[in-house]
Amino acid sequence: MSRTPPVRTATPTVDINPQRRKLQPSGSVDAPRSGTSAAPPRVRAAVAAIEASASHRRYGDPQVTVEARWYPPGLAAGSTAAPLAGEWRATNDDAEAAVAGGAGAADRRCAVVTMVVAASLAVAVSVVVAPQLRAVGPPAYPATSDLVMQGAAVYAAHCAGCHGADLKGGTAQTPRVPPPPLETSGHAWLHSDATLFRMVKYGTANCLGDTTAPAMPRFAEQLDDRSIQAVLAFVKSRWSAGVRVVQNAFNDGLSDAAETQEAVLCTAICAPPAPSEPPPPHPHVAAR
Amino acid sequence: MRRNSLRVVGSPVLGLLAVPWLAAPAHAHVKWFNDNYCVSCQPDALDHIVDARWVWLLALFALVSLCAFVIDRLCGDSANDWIDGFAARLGTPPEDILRIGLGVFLVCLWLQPGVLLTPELRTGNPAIPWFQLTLAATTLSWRTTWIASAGIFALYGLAVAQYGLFHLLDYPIFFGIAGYLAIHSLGPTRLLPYAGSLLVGTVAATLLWASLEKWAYWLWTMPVVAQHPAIGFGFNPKAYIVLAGFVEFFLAYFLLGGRFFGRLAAAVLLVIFVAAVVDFGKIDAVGHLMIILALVAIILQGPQPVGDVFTWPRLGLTQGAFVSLAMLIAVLSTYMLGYFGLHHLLYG
Repeated sequence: MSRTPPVRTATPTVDINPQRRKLQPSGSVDAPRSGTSAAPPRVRAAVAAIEASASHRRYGDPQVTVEARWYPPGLAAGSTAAPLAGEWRATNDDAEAAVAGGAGAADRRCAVVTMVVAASLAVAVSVVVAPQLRAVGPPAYPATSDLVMQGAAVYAAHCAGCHGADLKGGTAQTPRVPPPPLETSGHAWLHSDATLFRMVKYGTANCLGDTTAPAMPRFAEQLDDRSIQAVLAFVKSRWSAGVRVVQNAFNDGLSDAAETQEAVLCTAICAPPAPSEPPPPHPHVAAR
Repeated sequence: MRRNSLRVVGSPVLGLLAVPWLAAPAHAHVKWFNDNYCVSCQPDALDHIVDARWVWLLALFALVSLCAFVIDRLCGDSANDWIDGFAARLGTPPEDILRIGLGVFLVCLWLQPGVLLTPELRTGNPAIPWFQLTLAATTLSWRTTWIASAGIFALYGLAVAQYGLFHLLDYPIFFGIAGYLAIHSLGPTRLLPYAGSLLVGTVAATLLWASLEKWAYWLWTMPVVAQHPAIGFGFNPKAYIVLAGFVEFFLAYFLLGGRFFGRLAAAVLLVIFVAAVVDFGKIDAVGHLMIILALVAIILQGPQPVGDVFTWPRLGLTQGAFVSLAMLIAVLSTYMLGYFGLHHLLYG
């Protein structure tokens, strides 16, 4: 009568399933057979050590299953399995070694390839995106250009009275607050070109119902669009290149919400007033 | 020819390496240096924020992050072992650093009457500075530090009542530091293993929220950026702010989802905040003191259990790296939805 010997694993086995590699450091210690005593203390210690290491587990720790099965030596004659005593090893080191030699090595190769591909793509994307991060050079406003010279004349005639000949702001008491400086100590450079244009053309009176906002008068009747652009060019020509770069960024497709923020940021917005409610003439304009 | 190809490849790489340092000015807290912010105002439209440039930057940062996740899994643990050894030799427990730091911070607040926790939060109550000084005194001993923690909770609640929840979501870090110190002071055994996670989680939440703010209210940062010479590095000012938002978001995520890279992200953020202090002075130093110390504590204490939620350490290298990336995108989506959704809910 032939007797098939059972699979004999005299040492604790480390079960690594690469498909679902989970850290389950609980040792499944089979009940000993053939009247053997309970699993030796070293097994229990190893299981406890693995359980304790769960809180300090590392990446890629495999599923570790400690199986302690022992069969009497006579059951599998000729087996080369090592004797039970002294062979209880169930540590993470075994598992890691198994990972390194098997599925782990393939995973590492795959990970390195992934990394190389991702890095190459990142370089390619950065080449594409880099031009979009560069500052768009703001238009230059040379003091000798026709537009700036025309703007200087317009400024002297219509603006200097309130904002000062040197753009440093006025002291004249309007009905609300003194006119702000138009050079970089003010906030004109924190507005988009479109907002600045509307400010000059339609004024800031009655804006958002904010009675503390500076009462910039409307110049729609005094200045044509070309003159308004000229006076803005003159003001910008007095700003440093860095400030013009920042101001130019406000022209970068502001959404309505952003314009509201801009209004809050600078405490003024210039929406065209309703035709039926023209703003009161500014004292300075009225005097002219 | 070779020089040209080197330039093509090298420039973006160098640019990426320089980004954290260039981003420093944008990390000065905008509300401390610009009074004209308005939390209840509409943020920039979402479809305006998510433009082509934003999507390209997201792709770039995601790819770089994927590389970082792989490297972190390949050799992060060895690097962590080395840092753990160094931290052990240093012999200064991170909780002590935070306790003493909190005391110094509260004394600084007492010296600036009218300030409630951070420079932009103001209070007219004359008792608050003295309350903060009393709290500072309680940090002298671990036995009484929990009182300081309770006091921080109270001050945070006061600030929420005064400024609204949305504004105070800028500062969950105070919640985290108070909780962290309370756990260490009272020593409940069941909560002690999670104190570090609480700290890392709230620091990351603070930075993630701030990065969203840079995209939603980029105009607030504009004056701050304009006053800084970094603008001369050739960045478009708005792109610079958007880029700073990405740097902050991804570094904050790495605090949560990195092992060695969590520490590395904390170190880079530390450099950024210290650089901002050098540029912006005393207000920035006091305002950022607690986050700077929290980052030091994060570097010293190393990975925390909260990281497992984002890294899934049981997975293999490649699978795990992709899952970390997926979690990053999930966090980004959740935060964007949360930021704009909550704003709409609270302010319409």
